[in-house]
Amino acid sequence: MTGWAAGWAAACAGLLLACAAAATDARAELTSPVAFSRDGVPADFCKVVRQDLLDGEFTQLEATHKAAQSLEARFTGGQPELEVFYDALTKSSCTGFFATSCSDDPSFDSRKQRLQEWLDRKSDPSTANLALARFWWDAAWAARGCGFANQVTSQQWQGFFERLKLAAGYAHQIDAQSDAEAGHLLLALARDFNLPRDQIDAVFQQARRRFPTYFLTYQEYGTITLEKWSGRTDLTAPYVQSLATDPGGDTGEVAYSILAELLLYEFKADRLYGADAGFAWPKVKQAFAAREKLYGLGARDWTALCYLAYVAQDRAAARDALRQLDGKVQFWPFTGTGDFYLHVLPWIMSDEDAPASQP
Amino acid sequence: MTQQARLRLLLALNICAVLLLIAAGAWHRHTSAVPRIVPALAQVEDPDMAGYCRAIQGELAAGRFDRLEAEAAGLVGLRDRFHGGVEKLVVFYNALANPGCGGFDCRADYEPRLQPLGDWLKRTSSPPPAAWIANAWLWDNYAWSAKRCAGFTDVTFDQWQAFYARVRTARGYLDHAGLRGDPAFFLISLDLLRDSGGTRQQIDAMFKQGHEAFPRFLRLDAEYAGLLDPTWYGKEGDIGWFAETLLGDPGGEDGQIAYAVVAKEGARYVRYPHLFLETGLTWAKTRAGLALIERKYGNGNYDWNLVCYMAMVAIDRPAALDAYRHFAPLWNPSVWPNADYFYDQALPWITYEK
Repeated sequence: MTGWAAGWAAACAGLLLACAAAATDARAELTSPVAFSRDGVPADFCKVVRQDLLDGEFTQLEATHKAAQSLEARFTGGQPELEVFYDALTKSSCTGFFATSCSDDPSFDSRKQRLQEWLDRKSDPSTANLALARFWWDAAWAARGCGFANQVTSQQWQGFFERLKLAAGYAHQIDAQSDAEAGHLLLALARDFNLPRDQIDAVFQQARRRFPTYFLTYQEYGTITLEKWSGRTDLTAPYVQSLATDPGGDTGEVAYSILAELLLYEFKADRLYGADAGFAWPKVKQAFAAREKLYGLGARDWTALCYLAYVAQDRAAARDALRQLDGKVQFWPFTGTGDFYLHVLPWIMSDEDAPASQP
Repeated sequence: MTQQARLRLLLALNICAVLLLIAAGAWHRHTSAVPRIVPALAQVEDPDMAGYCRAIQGELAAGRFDRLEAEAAGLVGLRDRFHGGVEKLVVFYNALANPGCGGFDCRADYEPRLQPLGDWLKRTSSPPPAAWIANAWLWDNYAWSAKRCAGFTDVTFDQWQAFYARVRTARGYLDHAGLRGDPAFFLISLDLLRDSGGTRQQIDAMFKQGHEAFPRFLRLDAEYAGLLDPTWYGKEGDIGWFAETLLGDPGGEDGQIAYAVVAKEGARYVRYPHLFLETGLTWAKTRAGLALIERKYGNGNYDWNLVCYMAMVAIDRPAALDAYRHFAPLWNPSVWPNADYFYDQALPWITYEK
């Protein structure tokens, strides 16, 4: 990070904390006017919301937002509609697997213009400000590019921080108590402005106390604990293990499973269940079961569970996950589907106790 | 010129050849008088192989197991071969392990084959090696038929269960002692290693054992070459490396022939036009081996079609034209993707005259 950016980051710290502490309550009661199947993929919902934005249907957007704000409407796997709502307004694509901001963004200018129009209408300034803050945060990462930090040019860093600055400007107007995405965004900004550890932790604690079932916040904090962000190797495991008691219960189980699904990409197989990541296979299995009971699991979740079971060498659990997928694995972490079909699948399907097929 | 520069030049030449093919194809559509046909299987199958296959299937249907046993015993020396150097032993087992005579067919019903071959095992308390091997071969084919021609990512869980249960049965048949005197044991063992998650080291070790016991088993060389496809166990350049080893072991004319057989196998999976560009295989060595195969065993329709295709990939028009004259007009659908490709793109280039 450059010197001026670090200075600017420090100046933003107070602003972010102030935002996080702001308190208003605007619970929505409307049901979603968007017609789509929740058994389908979030991308369908995302596309509808995005089109509403591009068409300038702000009344519709506000109704959709209010319906999603309670976090009761969720997709299979537990992802809240609210999370996808903001993705639809701010990310470059509705179909990216990890919703990265690295692809072409042909509707960037149109979305920016429409979001500004929405704010200018003053019909729901809090949400419009949050959407614009989220938009410029995503745009900052797009400006940075998808290379490793040592491959990012000074111009890209400059673009990154200029857009972060815009995001922080809008974040000043948001209400962290009424919208779960606000807590997530403030946490992300706190990380990107390189705030001190205790301030980041404070933002996270406030966000999860206010909206304990907005699981994106747990994911964001999970990435912050990684060595590549924090420079420390002793943060992830305690955080992972803390979820059993805080938030605890079913919510803690779901958060644990979602975190396992995210962090499995950050730790090689032999470290996933070790001291570095802090996961324990029996707890992972239990957490996925709890999440399935509450929200169901999608193909991506079952594939992750199949992988996690394979790493734990729990053949029965891996096979059960594969059965849920009806045998169809569309991706496989690290080694790809070719390796899955050549080596992993035979292991999953082999069974010394099972009788061989007979005529 | 560096190797990389030479590869670039070859690739550029191939691209030019493709453009020429397309242009020639367009011209050909307007001018050609060559009648288009889609040959029936009976027109392109090798009559000797097909006749032998049906005879063996007749023996099985009639339950003449003694004859089958005697036939297998006479073939394990690998002296009897068909066109292209194909071992009669391989045709023998394919006849027993498939409902038809065209090799494995994912659309075929393999269940009716299970009982006749199973009966062979039940005749005595000590069935002959050929009975075990034939059953293992059949059950591996039966396993693949469970997938119903689906691509890997489209196979259902139940189909995978059936696949692996059948593979386990096939492996069980190979557990019996005394089978290693039959070269086909190593062939089906390689396939079953592949189908049950075997490692590259296990595949290599099994091939090595088979090759040491039967150094002139061309189908084993081809099968191993197939497993060196990067989508299976190999990496770029493996097939060329393997072909080179055959020039030293078994070496001589046998090694040259084996080299060409490996190249023919590579031609089945290496995408056009990369066969002689990034694999380490060379057309000059392949051509020398192909000439020896023709001289010693003769070529059938399939062989000539494949030689023609390989010559086209190597931009050797005289060789392609010579091969074409041996099979014209019966282009083989198992070599060329479709009639349009053959008539509109390949044939105009092969028959082009300045």
